[in-house]
Amino acid sequence: MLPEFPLDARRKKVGLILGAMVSCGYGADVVLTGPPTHLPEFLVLAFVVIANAGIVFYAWPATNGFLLRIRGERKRGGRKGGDGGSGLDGEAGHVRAAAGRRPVLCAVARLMPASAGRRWLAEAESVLFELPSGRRAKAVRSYLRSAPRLAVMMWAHRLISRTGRRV
Amino acid sequence: MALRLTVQVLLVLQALLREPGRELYGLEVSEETGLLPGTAYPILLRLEHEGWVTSRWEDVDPRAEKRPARRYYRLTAGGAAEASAAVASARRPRGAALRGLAREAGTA
Repeated sequence: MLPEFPLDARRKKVGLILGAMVSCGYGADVVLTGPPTHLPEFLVLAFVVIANAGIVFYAWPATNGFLLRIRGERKRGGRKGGDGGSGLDGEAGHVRAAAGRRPVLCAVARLMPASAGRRWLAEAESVLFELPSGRRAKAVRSYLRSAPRLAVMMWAHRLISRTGRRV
Repeated sequence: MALRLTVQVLLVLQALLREPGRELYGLEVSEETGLLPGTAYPILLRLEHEGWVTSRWEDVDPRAEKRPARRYYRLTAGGAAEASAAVASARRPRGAALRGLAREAGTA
């Protein structure tokens, strides 16, 4: 199952990415052209330090929570009570009780649109759970092999259905 | 998106056509066709997008069953007709080609 990011964590991630981009851009600019002449150097340094501290402050809870959740699920064998998600995603909620989550499959599912990724992952886990262990590795590889094409197909389908709806 | 009738697609259609009313889940489809589950899934999804197949999650309590819910696939009424036609048309050229070859072999 794809870990469902709370909105707050998503905002933190976006903040992290923006912060990292600004900081890297500014850092590169300082390295290439030197600090701006109208600013004292300690101000430039303070800006970079504060920007990086901000990034760490935002990044830590977001990524840490995310990693902990995946690890926690694996430790518990992925057996989670409660209801699932909603809509097509909710369908995937049935499989919350699937066997140990495969991080590779989780990562690959992120290539697809969210709902499609969740469904793919849920179905893969459901099938893998029932396969004899000897055949499981081959099946996982087959899922991984077909995933990129499937991701393209799903995004294309999503795009077509959206543009079709607008027209 | 037009559905390309590859050998794999035809295998999946044949498996679903064996008993058109019956629902098959991913693993069954994979076992009946000999395809790997990762290969069968995109085909089933494409068939579903085309409206030939419908699917649903099994309504079970995974904790009681001690396994995750399965996703069941079934041919729709229209899909069954289209699938039969597709499988039949895929068989025809091969049959005709074989008959042609046999004729050639007979005359040679």
